[in-house]
This record gives sequence, C-alpha cells and structure tokens, in this order.
Amino acid sequence: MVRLHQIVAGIPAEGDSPVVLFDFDEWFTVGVGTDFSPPEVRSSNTWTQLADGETTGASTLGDRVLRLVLTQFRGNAEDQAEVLQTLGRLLDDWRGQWFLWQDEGTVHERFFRTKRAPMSIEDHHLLERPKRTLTLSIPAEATAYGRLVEGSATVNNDPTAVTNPLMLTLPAIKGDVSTPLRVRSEFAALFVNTALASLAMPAGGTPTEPVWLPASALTPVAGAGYAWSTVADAAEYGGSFRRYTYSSGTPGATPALTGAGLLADVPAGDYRMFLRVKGSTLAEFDLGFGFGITGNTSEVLGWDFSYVGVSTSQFIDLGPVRLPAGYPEQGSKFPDDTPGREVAMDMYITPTGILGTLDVIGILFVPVGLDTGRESHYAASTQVLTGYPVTMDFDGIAGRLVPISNTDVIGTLRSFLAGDFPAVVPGAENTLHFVRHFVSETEGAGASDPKTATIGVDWSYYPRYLYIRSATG
Amino acid sequence: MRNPHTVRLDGPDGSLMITHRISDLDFTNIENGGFGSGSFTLQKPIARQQLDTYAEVLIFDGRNGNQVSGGRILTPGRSSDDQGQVANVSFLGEGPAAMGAVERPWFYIDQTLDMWALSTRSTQRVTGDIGVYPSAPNDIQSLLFNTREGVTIDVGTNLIMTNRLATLTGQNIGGFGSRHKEGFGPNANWRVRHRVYTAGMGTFDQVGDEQWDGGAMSGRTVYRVGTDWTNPRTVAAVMWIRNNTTIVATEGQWAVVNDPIIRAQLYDAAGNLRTGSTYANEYVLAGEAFTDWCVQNCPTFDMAHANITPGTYHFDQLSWPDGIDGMKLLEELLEMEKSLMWGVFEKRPNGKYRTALVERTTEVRYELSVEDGYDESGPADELCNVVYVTWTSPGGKPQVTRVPTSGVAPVPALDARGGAVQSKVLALGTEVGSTAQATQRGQEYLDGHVAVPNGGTVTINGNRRIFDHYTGRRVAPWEIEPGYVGRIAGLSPRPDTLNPDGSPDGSTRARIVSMNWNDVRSTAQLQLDAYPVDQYHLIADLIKKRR
Repeated sequence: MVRLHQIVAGIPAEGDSPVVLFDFDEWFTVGVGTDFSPPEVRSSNTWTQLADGETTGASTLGDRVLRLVLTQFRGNAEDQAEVLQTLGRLLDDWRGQWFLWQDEGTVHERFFRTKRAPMSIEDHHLLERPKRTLTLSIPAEATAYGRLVEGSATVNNDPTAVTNPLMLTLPAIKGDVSTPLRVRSEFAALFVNTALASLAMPAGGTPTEPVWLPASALTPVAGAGYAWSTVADAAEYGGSFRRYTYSSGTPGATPALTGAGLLADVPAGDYRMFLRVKGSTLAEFDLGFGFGITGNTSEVLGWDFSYVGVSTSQFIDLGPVRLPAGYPEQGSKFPDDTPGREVAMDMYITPTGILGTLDVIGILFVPVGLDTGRESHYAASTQVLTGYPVTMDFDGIAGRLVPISNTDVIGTLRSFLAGDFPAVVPGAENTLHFVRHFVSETEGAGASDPKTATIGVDWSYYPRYLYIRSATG
Repeated sequence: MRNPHTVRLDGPDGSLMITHRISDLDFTNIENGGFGSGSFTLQKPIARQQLDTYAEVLIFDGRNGNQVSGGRILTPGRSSDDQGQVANVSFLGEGPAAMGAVERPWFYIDQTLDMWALSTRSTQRVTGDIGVYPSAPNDIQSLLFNTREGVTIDVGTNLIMTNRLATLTGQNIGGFGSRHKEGFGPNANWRVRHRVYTAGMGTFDQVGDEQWDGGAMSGRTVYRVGTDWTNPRTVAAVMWIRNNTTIVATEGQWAVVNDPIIRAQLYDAAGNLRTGSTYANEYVLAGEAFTDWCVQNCPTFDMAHANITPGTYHFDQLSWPDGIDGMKLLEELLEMEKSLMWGVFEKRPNGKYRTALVERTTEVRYELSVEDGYDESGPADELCNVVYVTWTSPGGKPQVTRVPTSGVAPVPALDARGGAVQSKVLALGTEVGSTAQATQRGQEYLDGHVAVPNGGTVTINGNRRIFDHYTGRRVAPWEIEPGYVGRIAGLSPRPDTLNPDGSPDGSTRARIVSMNWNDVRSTAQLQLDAYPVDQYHLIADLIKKRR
C-alpha cells in the first residue's frame, strides 16, 4: 500500500472510498520533520509530605498537533497559486477537516479530526517555477479514528437464559483507547425506564454476566402473622416464585426471607440492584434488605423502600450495592490472595396499609463498577411519554439519547438520560448489560416485561487510535 | 481515567448532555440542604433558551448512574474574551432554592394576644379590651370583657373578639382553645363561647359554650378540626353574651379569656389535611412543621416518599405574621432540634426530588485519612459557659433567661482556668417566645460551644475509594454524604462530644459538614465540624467564584 496524506470529506463506510478534497502527495513530497505523535497526557496529581510519591486523581489526553513538512512543491507559479488557495481554504475552515493518513505497507488508514490551522510558507526561489517549503502545524483531536465497526445481536430478557442473558459479549474491540458506543434497541412498547451498562474487564477472563439471585435460593423464615408458599409459574424466571401471604399482626421486625453462602466467588464490586417482584394490586409493603456475611447480616442495612403492589412482575431499581458488602477492595497493584467471597442477605417485609400478597421472584445485580474492572458506564433512560413503540438510540458517539417512534418521527417524544453512555475498551473483555424495563420505587405499574421477550441490539463504534494501526487492530 | 461525571441540562425544550462542552465543574453538597450549589463554564455557547430561568442541571456519576449534584440554574454570567465566548453557569440545589424561594406570612402555633382584636363595637354598656383583670397574677394580659356598673344589660348583648391570623396567612385553623375566668357567677345566662368563623364572618361553628362560673381560672380546652368542626375555618373568635334575662351590671361582672392557643391545620406527607387528635397537643413538632411547609410551598419535593423524623422538641410558639421564608423557618426549627438535619437530593423519575429530615447519628460512617492533605486555619469559635437569651413574652414584655439559671455550664477548658466566665447574649429567633424555648436555645448553644471544634478541611484525591460503613461500599469522594461522621486517621483530636477522651490513637471523629468536588483539582474537600453552611453562604460562595 502506498503512503497517503489526504484531506477527505469524511470517514467513509466500510467498502467505500473516501472523497478526497486535497491530496498532499500529488503536489508535495512529505518530508523529514513530519510528526503524528500521540498527544500529551494531562494528570491531576496530589502530594503531601505525609507519604512518598504522588497520587493521580484523573488523567486525560490533550490535543495533538499534526506536523507536516512539505517540500518539492511541484508545478509552475499558477499551479502553485491554485493549490495554495485550495489548501488555505480547507485549513482555515473553523469547523475543521478530516485528515487521512496511511503508512506505506499498512492496510488501514487513520482519520484525524483537525481544527483550524495556520500555514507557514517559506519561499526560497520565486521564479516562474517557484521553490517553496510548507510547514503545517495542524491542531487535531487527541486520537485518530478508524472506520465504523458495527454489529448486532439479540439479547434474551431472561437472566437464566443460556445465551445472552440480559447481556451481550462484544467481540474484540479495535483501536487503542476507550471509545464511546452507540446502541440502538427496538422495543415493542415504550417503557418507563431502560438501563444499559457497559463493563470493561481485564482481558483473558470470562465475560461478566449479570448476577441473578432467585427467590428459590433464599430461605423463607417462618413467623407470626404471615406464611410463605412456593408457586410454580412458567412465565416467571426460574419457573417459580415465593409468595408472602399476610395474616395478622405487624410482622417486619425480623427478616422474612434469608440466605447465606450465596453467590459464591461473585466478582467484588458495585452492582446496581433490581428487585423482581409483583403483588396484589395496590397492596402496600415496606421492604428492606440487609447484606453481610453468613451469620451477620445486620452489619449493613439499607434499601428501605415502600412498594405498592402491581400484578405483573417488574424490576424495581434499588440503587448501587457492594457485593459482598464490606469486602476489602480487590485489584490493588499486588497479587490478590483474598479469601473466597459469599453473600448473606436478609429481606424484611412489613405490610402497611392495604393488605395483599407479595410475590418475590428474585434480585438482579447488574455490575456497574467491579473492583478489578477497567471502566464501567451506566445509563438509564426515562421515557416521558409511555405507550409508544420506539427505538431507543443511546448514541454515545454523538452524546445524545434519541427515542425514535415507529413512524420514524421524534416530535414530542422526550426521554431523559441519567448516567453516562456506554463505551468499549480495546484489549479488554467488554460486555453490555441491559435491563429492558424497570421502575423506581416511586412509580407504579409499568409495561409488562415477559421473560420470553428479546431485545434486538445494533451497536457501533469508531475505533480510536493513538498512532498507527495494524491489519487486525 | 477521566473523571466519570456527566452533566445534563434540562430546559423547556428537552434535555441535553453537555459533558463535553463544559469546564471547571465544581459542586458542593451540604449537611443542611443536600445538593447545595455548583458552577461550571460552558465553552461552547449553546442556544440561549437552554439557560432560561428554571433551567436545571443534573450531574451524574457515569459509573453507576446516580445523580451526585444538581440544581436550578441561576442567571448565567457571560463573557467574551481571550477564552472565547463562555457562559459562567452557577446553580443552587433544589432544596435551598425552593426553601428560599417562598416568603410569606405563616404560622403553626400562636399563643400570644397580638393578633386578637375586637370584632364588635364597644358600647356604653359593655367594653372589650386587652388588659389585666382584677388580681391578675404577674400582670398577665388577657382578653377582657367589662360591663359598666349600673347599666341594664339587655338580652342578646354580646361582644366578640377575633383572631384573624389564619386568614392573613391563608391557612386553616386546626386547633383553638383557651382558659377563661369570670368575676361573677355561677350564672347560666352569662355565657362565654368559642367559635370558628369563615373569613367574612358569614358562617361559623360554635365549638364551646360555657356559663360564667365565677371561680378560679378554668383549665384550657382545645377544640379541634375534625372532632369539633369540619369545614375550613380561618377566624377564631371568643364571644361573651347575655341570654334569657336582663341584668343590672355590677363591678364584678367582668370576664376574661386567657392563654389562647391557635394551631394551624397541617398537611401530612401524602398531601392530605390532618384532622383530629393531633391538634390537642399544645405544641408542634419540627417534623410536622417541615412536612406541612414543604407540602404547601415546595411542590417539587417528593414528600409522599420522604423520610421525615418527627423530632422531640415541643415548639409552643411559631408565628410570623410579617412573613418568613423556608430557609429561615428551618433555621428556627433546627436551632432547637439540633439533632435533625435535612436535605433534598436527586430528582426521581416521577419528577420530584428525594427529601429527608433525619436524625444525626454519631457512629462513624466514613473512614478517611489525611494522606491527601489537611488544613485547619485556626478555629474561630470561642467557648461559652453562660448564655443570656432575650425574648418577648406573649404579653409583650421583654424577658431575659439565663442559661444555666445559676453558676456556669461545665466547660473543661474554662474550668481549668479557675472557673473563668465567657458569656454571650442571644436573641430568640421567633417574634414572641417562652421560657422553655429560651432555655432550649441557650442550652443548644452551650452544647455547641463546650469545646473548640475539631474543624478543618480534609482533601481526598478522586482516585481514592472511601469505606462507607452504612452501605458497605467503597465510595468515590464525591459520593460522600455530608452530615455524617468520619473518622480521620492521622489526626490527633481535641476532646469534644465525638472524641470524649481526646483519644491517643491518632484518629479523630468529626462531622462532615460539606463536600466540595472540583474537576480540575480532581479532589474532594470535606469541611469538618464547622457550622452548617446555609443558603446565604452558598450564594456568597457562588458570587466569589464567578468573579
């Protein structure tokens, strides 16, 4: 492959050729002093006299400068005038340009997004065939882009499914640095809230699946004033759930459901907790959870909230929790030899107000920040107008959330994003996690969320490069 | 490893993620208030309408989706200079903003005679006044009904005195009561009646009708909405009337109504008006006052799902006919209930904000250290062991209450200097007070000044994770909730309530009063053990930053 230095109209789709606005090699020889090196890293560090060394709070890449030294300007004075004007107009455009660079002997080009740039022209001999040297220092974005990489898959709305259980494993990501992901999913009906999380774990591990704790793994505790039963129901995850039926008094001071030695060796870190539950319509309960280790779940109490019964099972968002609770931080610079992990859990149920039954199907834990993880992003979209079929476009590339109705019109559909768009990290194990539909504790009924549903997912990203790219990278 | 925060701007036309268009993000969360304030600079000017008044900004932690700050946009400053065209945007958290936004006359409980006035005309035969009855102890003032000696009092002669406080403030009466005493009786044809009227005095419910009994001061009966009357009533009235037969007046034919109490009808957290037995209490609790104010004046707070602690202090006088705003109301409530703190936090999917009024705890919640920096520029607060509280009695007389009543409060540092006295004069916040309130206020002040606080500022690098005992999580520094106690390792404490023995283990417990996160520094600064930041300080801070 020949060397290419061009200003092009944009990044073309796979298989197309770029539209060339200016070809440097056509008029110049790109000479010594040309520099496309990666940008600086800006770090915020703190230090004190209390400890050796510095701690880095955050670090980001700065802009880079593309330096082109152009010699042996071909053509006569008129030719050169035209070329210099064309180049000048392109470089002066404040919106910036796309600069394509490909090395000799490599298969793939890179595209740099440049900013407005000056020209430096050295005139040596101004005769009829002038001798001029150009030096261009073009500011550009920190990283270069490759062509769009796309893919699609179907996610099963069932954490017990064998393939893609509420998650998707992405193939090896091209590029050098983390890059935002665009994820489009079609839904048959517009839900109240949808969650999408991306997780990048060190390479070589097994893809991280969401953690599902079914009610059948928890032990009902007999108590005064209520009774537990197990109800078989093929429509629910795992085929059954536990039913709490209230009879008398005010139970709730002691746990109604308990479990120990659960989720053995669960990857330690933060998870977003979603309770899968349903109940008699309008029945009111106060629910609470305690997490700890076997024999000691009173250590950590929290997540008290009130639930108003809805007859179809839904996920209720309860916020982040650390599993196992209080576990020492993993992933330090030295090898971990921390002992095995397990979770113990208590669930407290207090009927308040209108009485009825409570059906507990289980708890889903979506990883949102594992200790050994490299990067994680969580986004929840809240739909303002419900009842419309829609494609939800979590466009991390453009940085916007777009609901597109079934008639391809956006109009007054409004959605709000909480959190951050997903991103993928090259050289890591990347997974996407979905919660197709959930409600918060203050909302009532949402749409039905059957386990047989599937989520069609189209994902895409532009790989980002620091310097050069190989045939496969 | 960029900082994971994302910023969303909500305006009338929808919402926009502006994370990549801003710089210098800075936000502060505070102990009494929740999400306090913040600022950032918009590098890329966007359509003007996005920065309208009532535009709102929300700041999220992109790792787990939680909202960590946000609030109402204050009118942005704009500049065009070598930095380009930038808008300097500052925002004030929904809690302080909504609380401070409403200023109005208001009351919860009024036991003064200030708002009582004659509603019918005094004549040659009967007069009404606020004054002293014969042999009134301590010159206490009462609503006084007098007859003129020698005149004949016709049947139906009456005098009405009313209190229109509830009409002025736009509230309903929830409870109304008083004592009464007469110089003449028992006489079944002289009556003293309690009534509640509508604003125009057109309709009324007669809730009490007793004869003059001529004996000692009666007990105090409090009539309540729901039990004694049903419909909304805004005027409380006392009426004296002569029935059935005429009588020639004598000097002893006088009557007083004394020690009146009016309570405003309260809303509960669900937004319903409360009725019944609650109004028999001759006091209001902080939680009740907070809930009612927020339900009526701060509709954006999610009161239906709020976590409210009722509190224990009995407020027996809370009345501001000249007006009060939410922040001042809270100041008064929390001055007496120092064990409570309030906050308004994230916006929930139902469009309202999570609200809490909770007990302060003294257990350690966060494990901190001074590794990333600590600064204490010398404590400014002095010690105090005697307080003189000035207030005004319901009768209008100036009062002074000394706390403690004699001697000095125990303050180790002053006691060690042979009992040196350091005293202060405080004015009670409400327009009219009581001895109990004054004593409580004085005691709360003394409790806060028994030792020099272990103040200062701890810096935490953004990359550190802090252990949170309450949730078992290792939280990022911007997720630290102010109002809770942190244990700071590497710092030797001065003895105070949280560190009673000035423990020698080189760690100090201190309450975290505010958490300030700055994106450029990528550090959080926690202010310890100082007095809680209020709205006025927040705004002053914002103005300083915008300069």
